[in-house]
Order: sequence, then C-alpha cells, then structure tokens
Amino acid sequence: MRSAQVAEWILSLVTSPDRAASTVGDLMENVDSGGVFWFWIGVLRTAFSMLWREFFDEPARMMGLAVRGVVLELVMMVAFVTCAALLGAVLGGILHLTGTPDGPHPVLAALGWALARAIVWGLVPLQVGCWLARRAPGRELAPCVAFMIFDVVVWGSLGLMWEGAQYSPFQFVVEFLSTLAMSALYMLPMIAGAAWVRRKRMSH
Amino acid sequence: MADVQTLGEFEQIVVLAILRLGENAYGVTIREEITARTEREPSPGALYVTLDRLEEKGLVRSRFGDPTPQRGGRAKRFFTVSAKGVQSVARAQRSYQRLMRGLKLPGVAHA
Repeated sequence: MRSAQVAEWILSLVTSPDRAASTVGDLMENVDSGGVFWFWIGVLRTAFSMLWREFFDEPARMMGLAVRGVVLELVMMVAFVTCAALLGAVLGGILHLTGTPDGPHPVLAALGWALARAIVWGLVPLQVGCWLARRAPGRELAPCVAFMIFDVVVWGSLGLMWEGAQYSPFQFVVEFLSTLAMSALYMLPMIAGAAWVRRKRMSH
Repeated sequence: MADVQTLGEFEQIVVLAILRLGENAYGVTIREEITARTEREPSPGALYVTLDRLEEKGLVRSRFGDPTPQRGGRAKRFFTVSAKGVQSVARAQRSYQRLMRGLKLPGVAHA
C-alpha cells in the first residue's frame, strides 16, 4: 500500500519513525471497516494533534522563535529588494549603453518577475523554515505553526485596522479566510524547509 | 505520594482501558475498549497524543511487538501501566468516589 508509506512519512515529521510506522499500522487495521477516507482522516488528525501538542508544550518559546523568524524574513526581503534594485540599475545602465532604451525584451522581463516571485514565495520562506527548525530540535515543525499563527494574527489585525470598519460580516469572513489561505500557501515552502532539516537530523 | 501525578479525565479513561486489556493493549484495542465502555469514540489523534504524554509522565510504558503482515509489516506498540500510573489512577478514582459519596444527583437513579 503506497499510501501507507506516504502516511508514514507525514507522521514521521511529528513523531519518531518507529512510532509513525506503528500508528499507520493501527490505522491500516481499520481500513477494511472504515475505508481509505477514514484512514486519511485518521492520519491527518493524528499529525495535526501531534503538531499542535509540540507547539503547546512550549508556546512562549515557539512564539519567540516565530517573532525572530518574522524579523529574519523581513531582513531577507529587504536584502532581496536591495539586490534586485541594484541589479535593475546595472541592467538599465547596460541597456542604455548598448542603445536599447525601450528596456529589456518582454521574455526577459517576464523571466525576471518569475524569478522574483520564486524568491519571495519560495526561497525566503524555505530558508526561514530551515532556520526555525534548526532552533527547535525534536519539534522542527512547531515554530512553523507559531509563525503561521503570528502571521494570521498580525496581518489579519492590520487588515482589519486598515479597512475593517467598512467590512460587512460576510466580507470579514472572506477577508479572514483569504488571509488564512495566503498564509497556508506561504507556509508550504517553510514547512518543506523544516521537514528537510528534520529528515537530515533523523538520518544522522 | 509525591511521585503520584494528577490525571485528566481522558488520561484516566486511557489508563483504565490499558489496565482492562492487559497484554493486548495497543492503539486499536485501546480505542475499541474506550468506545465499548464509554460509548464515546476518541479520535486517533487525541488517543496517540495522550498515550505519548502518559509515557513521558512515566505512567505507562510501551514496547514494540513483532512486525505483522496484516499491518504491512508494521509492528504494534503495546502499552502497560507502570506502578506510578496505577497509583495515580487509583488516587484520582478515590477522589471521585469521596466526592460522590452520599451525594444525590437530581434526575439520576443510581449515582
């Protein structure tokens, strides 16, 4: 059962590999009566419960790490914007000197934007995830949960302060859910980074 | 007495289920025992997190059995209650019994 191996991999992100294997074995025993859907619900609920517990064992420390992670993220973003501005200035100078004042080729411009998005939405959170995980050995994913909570609370509050007075209850719910979805999307590379650090630590 | 830990309600249920099952207490049977005796079905997540917490507190111990083909070669994790666990659940139950003694609950035939 290939899905059992995937389930084992998911659970091994939040518990030891032997415990993950025995938990998946337990859930597999119920596949005949409960079905595959029940199996996956069981895997995900178990993983979330274990992750939540890792966070709640040391919530203050995890939130502290999350705040430091946000600072690191901002530093990396500022460094990236500075580098991008410098690169843009250099490229602009080269284009000017070579006599192409209309700017870069559209394909090159599109590639540049794609690269910038990949860095902002991929590389930065990946690096932050690795950094957070290295500071929480044994519970590598818990600071990512704290980061997400911090992210949703801070950005959600800022959004409400900015435009909240104009929101109807429906708009409020939509805004909250979209903030949550964006945060979850942003978290994927961060979790990947933390998972990579965990796997590396477990293999030693 | 200083070594006796306080137990939450679900922790007591899990410890009592393990005691009832004896040698055959692992995730699936513990969950079935709780469902059969309490008529409430615990989620797998709540059960495994509680079992890990009880083990960290030193109230239960676990060991891995042999891998079985029915489980895709995955071993069962068997649980037993430690002496400290037995003391803790006994103390918690005695507290409940002392509180219930002589108490008449309105609308309940047998308290």
